[in-house]
Amino acid sequence: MDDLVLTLSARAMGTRFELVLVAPGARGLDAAARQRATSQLRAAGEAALEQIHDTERRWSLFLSTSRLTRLNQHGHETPLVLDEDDLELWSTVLEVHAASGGAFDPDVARAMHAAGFHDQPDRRAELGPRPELDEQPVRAAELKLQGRHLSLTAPGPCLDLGGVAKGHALDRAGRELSEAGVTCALLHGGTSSVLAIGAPPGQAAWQVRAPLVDPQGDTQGELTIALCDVALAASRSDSQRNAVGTGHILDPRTGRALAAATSSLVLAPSAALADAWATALCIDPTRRAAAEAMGAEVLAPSLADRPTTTSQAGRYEIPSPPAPSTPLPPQSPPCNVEP
Amino acid sequence: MQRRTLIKAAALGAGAVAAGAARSFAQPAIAFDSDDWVPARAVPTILVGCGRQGRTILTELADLGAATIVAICDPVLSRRRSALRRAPGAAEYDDLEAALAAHPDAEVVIVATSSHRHADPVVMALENQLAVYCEAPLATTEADLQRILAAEKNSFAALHVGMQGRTNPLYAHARDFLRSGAIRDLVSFDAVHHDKQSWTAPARDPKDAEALNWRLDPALSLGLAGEWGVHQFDVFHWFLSEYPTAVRGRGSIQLHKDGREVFDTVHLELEYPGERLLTWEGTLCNSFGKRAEVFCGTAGTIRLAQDAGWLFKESDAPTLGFEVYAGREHFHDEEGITLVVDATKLAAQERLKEGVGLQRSPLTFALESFYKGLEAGTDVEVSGEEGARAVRVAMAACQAVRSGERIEIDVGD
Repeated sequence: MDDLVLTLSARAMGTRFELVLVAPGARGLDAAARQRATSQLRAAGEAALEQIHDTERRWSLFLSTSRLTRLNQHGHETPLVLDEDDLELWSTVLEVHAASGGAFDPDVARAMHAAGFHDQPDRRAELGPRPELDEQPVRAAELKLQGRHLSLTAPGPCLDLGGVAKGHALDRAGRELSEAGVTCALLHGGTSSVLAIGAPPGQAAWQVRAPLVDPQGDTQGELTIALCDVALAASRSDSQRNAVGTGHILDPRTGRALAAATSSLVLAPSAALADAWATALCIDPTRRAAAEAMGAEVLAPSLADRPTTTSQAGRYEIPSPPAPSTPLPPQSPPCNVEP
Repeated sequence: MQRRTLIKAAALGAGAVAAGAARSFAQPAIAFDSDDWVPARAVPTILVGCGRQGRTILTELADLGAATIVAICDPVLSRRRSALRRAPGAAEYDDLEAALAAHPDAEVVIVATSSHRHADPVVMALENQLAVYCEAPLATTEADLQRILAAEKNSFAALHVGMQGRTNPLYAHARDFLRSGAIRDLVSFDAVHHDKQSWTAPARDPKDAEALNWRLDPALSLGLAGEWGVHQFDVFHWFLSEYPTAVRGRGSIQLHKDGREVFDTVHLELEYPGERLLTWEGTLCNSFGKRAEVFCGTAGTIRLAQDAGWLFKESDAPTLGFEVYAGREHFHDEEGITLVVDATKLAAQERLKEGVGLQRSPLTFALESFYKGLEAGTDVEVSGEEGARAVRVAMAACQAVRSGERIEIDVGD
């Protein structure tokens, strides 16, 4: 075997994260050297998974000890002091929020709770002691980022970073891998957020397939996307449904479910940026230009908009969609990742 | 003797923020009351050891607001760089000596190096009259323990050992509960720490690999009993006010057959007075159950899992009163009554069922206890002596596992 390939996974943020790590050029190594290389690859992967777990510990709505819970409950009294990783996350949150005209907004926890998306026996949202579960957000306080200090101007936020945290976790994991010398890896969280580091040995890119699903839930072909040093996020408004069939992406501007099922597929330099824009464009596909102005590339802003051209710069290729295949169930993951 | 060198200084404005343009967007409003301790000031602090635990400490300190990290120390460049992402603006050094020379204003040293390297920075800091928070285990040899305890005795500065059970408010609540006789006579105890991982550390520079993987060196590491068990042994010491008198143990390598000699799975039986046993199991091969301590009594069982705890009553146990209002969780056919910090207060506010789980991590509470004690001039909650006792139990356990023999334990005076 020429290369060492190691797959590690972990459950975090209510989904499964997976890392495919490759150490090229293992041919000729003796058993001991191969064992050492495997150990180092595993160590790097475990350190990367720890970054994912740490992201959950910091920013989960479902952990009483998380920084997000602290921000939601005490942010009006005591600012959070952000480190470099936090600053990247919240800068992305604020910038995409502004550029998307509010289509991306973490202020959705209250509406999500009211719509029944937190009614899971093993996931208890930490909304605060007396949340008022109105469907309509109450615009009474402001989230402020001054220097490294993140605070609220008044009590009462119910922030939920579900639209960006998986991508942020992948960014942190990817950085950890790069610092450990890993040059070839594919990471994904729940298959809807993907980060590619380098490309498999002898290949130009990692191949990722994304099915195209129509509003009835039927697959109408798929995209094969080649990824190299870039992130991909896929979002579909009805990939999860509540008890009455409402899709899990709510419009934060109204607090209500979208009128029709939508999806989006976004490439970006960081997984957090791809994640945030994938969510925003599900809600408001007209913001495509704003996404592209921030460095994102929109592959499929809606179900009806399929890419037919090859992208620029040769960083990835988008072949024409193949013939329709077997319909996928409504809750199928939006991407299938192939190492 | 007053041994604290820190003085209460002018408060650093809690709302002080760095300069910069504000970015904002609208948010909704709900109310929440807070009883959190607000530090009077941010104490100049040096972190020694920038591995995973050191970096976690930096994050927790940022939330606590009790410290300003003026310097970080680690001989490995990549670790320093990672730490600086969490402590922007701190100076970086290879070792504590250089940091102390450059930062005479420092008042606290946090030691989170590899365990066998705790003694040097702890002793150096105490000799310089700087307060020390040292991760557990305090040391890995009796000689290092003696050096540390001597330095502690001769210093006016405080030494706090990071055994987090003693500063966890949920554990304190459970301890009061247990000691009030809620589960009657104690019969047996057990504890587990399961975490599927390899215990290896990545090293971009091969020359760092050996130093970073000290846990797998039997000459340096006390293994699972020393690195993980020591925290849980101390929980039982604290709850019972008793120490084990002997230990038997076995170890094996079940999963990580990569040439290592340090066992990836360890079972211990620690003998307590009254013919009671604490069984402890640690493994790197499985994650089920994570970390938990269980106290079995004739009227019920208390299970603690760091940020949550439950009471399981025997069917013939008397009603305690509070359980009528408490939350419950089901574990197969057992019903656990959730243990809640400040239960009386929450019950008065009809919010008892909201109070499940800690509001902050056990590590944050440990650091808060340390800095709060320094500010108030009170004794530390986890002394060097208790840290040493836990290490002696761990050393005996390590010896029992390696030899397969029953080892008598002398925790010292």
